[in-house]
Amino acid sequence: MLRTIRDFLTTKRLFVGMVFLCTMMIAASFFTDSLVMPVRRFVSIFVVPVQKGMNNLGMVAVDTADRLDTVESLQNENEELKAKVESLTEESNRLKEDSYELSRLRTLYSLDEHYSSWPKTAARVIGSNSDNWYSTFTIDKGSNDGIEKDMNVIAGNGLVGIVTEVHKNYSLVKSIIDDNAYVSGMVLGSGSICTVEGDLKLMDEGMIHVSNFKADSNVLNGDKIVTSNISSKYLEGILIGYAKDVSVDGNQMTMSGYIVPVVDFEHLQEVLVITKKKSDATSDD
Amino acid sequence: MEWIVKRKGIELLLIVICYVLQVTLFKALNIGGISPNFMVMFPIFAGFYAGSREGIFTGFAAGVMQDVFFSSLFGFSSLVFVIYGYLTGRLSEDFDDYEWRIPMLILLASDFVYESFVYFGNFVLHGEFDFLFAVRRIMIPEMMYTGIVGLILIWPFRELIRKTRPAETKRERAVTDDETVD
Repeated sequence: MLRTIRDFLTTKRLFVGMVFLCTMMIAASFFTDSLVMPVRRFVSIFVVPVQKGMNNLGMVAVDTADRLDTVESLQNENEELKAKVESLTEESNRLKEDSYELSRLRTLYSLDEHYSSWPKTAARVIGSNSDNWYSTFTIDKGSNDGIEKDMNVIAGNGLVGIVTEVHKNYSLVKSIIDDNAYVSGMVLGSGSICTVEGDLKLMDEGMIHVSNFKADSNVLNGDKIVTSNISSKYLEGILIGYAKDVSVDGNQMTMSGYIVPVVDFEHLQEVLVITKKKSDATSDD
Repeated sequence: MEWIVKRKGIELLLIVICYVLQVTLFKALNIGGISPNFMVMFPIFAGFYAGSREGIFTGFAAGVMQDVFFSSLFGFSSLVFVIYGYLTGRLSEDFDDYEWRIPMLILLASDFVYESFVYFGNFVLHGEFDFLFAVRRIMIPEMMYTGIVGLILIWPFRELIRKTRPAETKRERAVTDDETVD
């Protein structure tokens, strides 16, 4: 039986057949996801559990390499840090007073919409993009854990990205440094609206682009950029990063510059998914 | 026929293992943000040491893995890898079993060409992105890193093919293949 199939399928026929099959798959993927979804589900059965383990191994390897690298620099740093601790202790005392005042003022202005109050669930990063062009990654929580598409993802204090696809036990997240990512942002304080877009060319600088400020906006280095109130997918007020070198564009109508993100995308291990969506948030009100 | 099933099973297993390595361990061990591309090795090495059929088969499987989670154009990598596997297999008929420089050269060129396709497919529509930057910062580093990993894997891969091959030699099989074509 196998012999007959093999005799019929000469190498050339097999080649032409496979090329045809691949072309059909490409053509189909323009219109529908239904072809890739079953394959994805099947592959993920084998890949996702292994990935979880492997990723831990990867982190151990990186940690070891980092440790060997940095013993010397750590000693120098330690000296500096000791000096810093003293000045910081003093500052901390002062800040405690400030923070007391802040919490009092917040209640006063009922600014309890701050993102610390949103429901969140922690997830582990289990795999990054298979190529070097985009910055998407998979996390180990899926629809079983209540994750939905368009949920915002944060790490530490800053915005990481947004959930673009949800499967049973894992989800895909597109980070804001992805070349295809656009986020509507605003300057904390003045409220100037801008567009934050990832750019592959800035991968070495560790920065992202910010543009479309109105020409009369006043943006200084270090100004906090947060997600804007007019964004349809991102919850308002999540810190993206700090403005850098914002200047007027050639057309004299807009200003653009860079943002230094608060999230360390290079060493992303655990993220928090905000289980409240902007669409729900607005419909609640 | 048993050896076919055995070899294909091992190859599929290897592809899955290498895929997991590619998206986890080697993402962590990136050099300047660049990780190697394991998947492109399969059609080249299998095509060179085991012939066109094996190249086509592994190319298809590796392409599916490359695209399955992170690509919007499912099937694109498979198409390129299937063509790679077939052409490498054809080319290998002129070389003996222990040749390793030729497949390494093909691997480097293939990775570069594949990434160029990806670049033109994805980024040219963006307009502002420039090709020279992509070549200098992404394609060449990826090519080098893939080459280094390939250099480590080429020997075990060849041995695997030799261990799982049928009794007849490669050249004899190449001849029978040609006969069936005519």
